[in-house]
Amino acid sequence: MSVSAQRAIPFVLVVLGLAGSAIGSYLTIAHWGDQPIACGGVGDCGYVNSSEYASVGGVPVSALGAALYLAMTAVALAWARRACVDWLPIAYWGLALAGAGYAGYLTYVELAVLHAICIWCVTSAVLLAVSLALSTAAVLREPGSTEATLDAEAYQGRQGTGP
Amino acid sequence: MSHIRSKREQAAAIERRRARQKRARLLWVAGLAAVAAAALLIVAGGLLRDDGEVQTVSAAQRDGRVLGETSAPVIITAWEDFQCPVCKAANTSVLATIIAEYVDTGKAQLQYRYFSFLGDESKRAAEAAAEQGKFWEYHDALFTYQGAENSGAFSNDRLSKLATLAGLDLAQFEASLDSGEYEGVVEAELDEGRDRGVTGTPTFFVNGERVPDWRDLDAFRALIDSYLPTSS
Repeated sequence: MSVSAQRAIPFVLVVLGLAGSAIGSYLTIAHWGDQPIACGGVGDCGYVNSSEYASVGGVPVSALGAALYLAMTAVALAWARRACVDWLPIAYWGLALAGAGYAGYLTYVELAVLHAICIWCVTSAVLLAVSLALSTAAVLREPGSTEATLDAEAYQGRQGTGP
Repeated sequence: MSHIRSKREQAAAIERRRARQKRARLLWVAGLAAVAAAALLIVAGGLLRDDGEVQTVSAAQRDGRVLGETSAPVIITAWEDFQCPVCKAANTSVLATIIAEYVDTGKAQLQYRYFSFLGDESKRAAEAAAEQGKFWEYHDALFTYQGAENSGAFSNDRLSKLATLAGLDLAQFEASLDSGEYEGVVEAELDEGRDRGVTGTPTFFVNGERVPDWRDLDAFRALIDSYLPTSS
């Protein structure tokens, strides 16, 4: 993966996190406000989000999702600002892994138990899967390689433009 | 010089190895914590899961498909289809008010009739529930989990799931449903509705007189009031 692609990853993850937060917030507001969910004619969002699987101990799953996305966005922002801090991508990867794992379970429940799909939930699961894939690619790189490559590029630049 | 360089390279190699080991430990910790968090949510969801939330239309007396006291002087007849979204809207708006003001207070009784123009599965299932004396519990579950028209929301699996939610004996319910013994009832009621001039759902009658516009709550009330004994 090129250095510029590596540096772009946290910025892409911020965008994905904001999109996921918006979905989670919308479903939470609809759940607590007992409002109909705009499903675009795809699936059965109302049934899925009022089923017994839509909350854990009285807390809507969508609210848990919104909180997770906000945490992921915050970590991705810190990662984007401080690319040399090694544990930030790992922390993000952990959050994405937990989210994607739980989203995978919920998608199974939709397909195999409820026999109904919520298009917003599926979109959220896809966002989490993409976030997990991108952060996995980032954490699998050699530690410090980005900074080393950047330093090398900067050095070569100085050599090329110097007197 | 080469000796010093070799020492530096060795130190750098050790430093890189330590960094890799530290990173590997962090990855293991993050990965295990993530798996534990997801597993905890799944297990907690199972332990804390309550039955689905069913919105109850009324706590009034029930007798088959009659809600309220069967001796009440005014009979409100509701022709509905469980798959009809407007019927669901009526049940949570105007009809809910009418039930609270007239049925719950013993002034009127509400009789439910099937007008099955969007498929008859849910109506046959409701008849199976009525056989167990739980028509209204099942009615509430069907409307709560209605889903889009003909979306498969009332597949046999879902109807059984709703039967459990409504507190029915599932084995008896499924046996009744499989027997097909209620098809005649649902079809006969559809024909009867057409004979009475029902063309869509929901359609309401008060003591046999059609409610012209059920959305007009005041007119609905006025029609009921006109059939109430003056002392009421």
